[in-house]
Amino acid sequence: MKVYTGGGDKGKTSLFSGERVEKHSSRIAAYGDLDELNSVIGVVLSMLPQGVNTLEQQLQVIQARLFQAGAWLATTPGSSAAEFLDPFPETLVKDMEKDIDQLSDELPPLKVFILPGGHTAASMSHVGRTVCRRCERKISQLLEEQNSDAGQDEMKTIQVYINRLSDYLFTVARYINFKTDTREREWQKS
Amino acid sequence: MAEKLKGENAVNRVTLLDRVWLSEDTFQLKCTRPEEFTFLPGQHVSFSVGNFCREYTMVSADTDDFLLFLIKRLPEGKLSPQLADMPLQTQIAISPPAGYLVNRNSPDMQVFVATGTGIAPFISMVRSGARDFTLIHGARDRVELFYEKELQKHAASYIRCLTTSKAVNCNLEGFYSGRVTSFLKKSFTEGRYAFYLCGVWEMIQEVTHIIDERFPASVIYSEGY
Repeated sequence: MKVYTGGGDKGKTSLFSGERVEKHSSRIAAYGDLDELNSVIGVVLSMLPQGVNTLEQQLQVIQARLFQAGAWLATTPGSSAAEFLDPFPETLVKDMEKDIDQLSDELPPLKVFILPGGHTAASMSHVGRTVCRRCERKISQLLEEQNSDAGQDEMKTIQVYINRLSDYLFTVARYINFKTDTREREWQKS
Repeated sequence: MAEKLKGENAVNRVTLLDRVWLSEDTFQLKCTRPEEFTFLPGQHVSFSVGNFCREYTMVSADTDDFLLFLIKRLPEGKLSPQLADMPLQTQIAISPPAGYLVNRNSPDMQVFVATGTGIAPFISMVRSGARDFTLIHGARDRVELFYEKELQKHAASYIRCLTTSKAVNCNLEGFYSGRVTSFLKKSFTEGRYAFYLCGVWEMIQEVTHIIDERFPASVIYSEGY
């Protein structure tokens, strides 16, 4: 199968549900950011230090989940194409909260603001966290523009999932710095 | 006998049962259908022989107890010449079914556009009950209008676009002298449709741009090779 199809050379692209839309439409912008987020997580994975196998497994699962979420964002709510999508249940959010709690249990408590940085993988995890926030804003805009209630449940769950993912990536950054004895720089008023 | 390959997750082994040549270079291959192998009409599988894999679409109905594939023998191909010459009763590994060029139950008029063996997914859909569709099939010659009689019986409208001058008297109803792209540009009524495209990517790219210009409210589902 060819990677390039040329179908989008004139500024339009196809949704999974078949509609042709402008490449700058809200829906494309939203799943484009999700794609960027997934790529950033790929970079975090490739930079992970030794001794954090738990993170490797968790991040790989998250990458697969983001693919599922992307398919929902690429589908017009209420269209028949939604029948082909894997569900995106709230339990996925709960699973992530458990992961955050487990990682946090190993970390010293956070009493001050810390600056993004430290180990390269931790710094990249902070970048991922900020891309999460941008995704959230785009999904929020999509939900506001959506006329129908159809498919709202999944979209709202995805929005919450991305919100939690940003918290997770923040925790991952701290976890990597902790495990590699990399100092966290505290924010100080200048 | 069809069975799951041990140690190869979700890979099936099928046995070649029959081969029927439909034109000089295109044949229909009949294989056993593995138990528990289900697919949606329009989906494809990947055949593996040695180090090579190639995707082929089922042309059988989803209820048939065998699998049929439409395969063009490409002289420089890695797999199709082997499949063309392989003795019957040989066993081959195939992947689980994949692909989304399947019936989406769109409320809009369904228009199937295919070139050459790209007709395959639509054959499976028709054999599985698809009706009231418009079919636009492009080929060089009439002999390449595979399953023509069967399609004629079930299509609401069936336009055969032939590109060689000797092919047919194109004054006949249902025939067009020229490429499918030319037909869509010049002769297809403007409107809102659910387009299903299957063929070489160059055709899909060109047809997609025509749809954007002439049928902008339509939806497009496509699969290329």
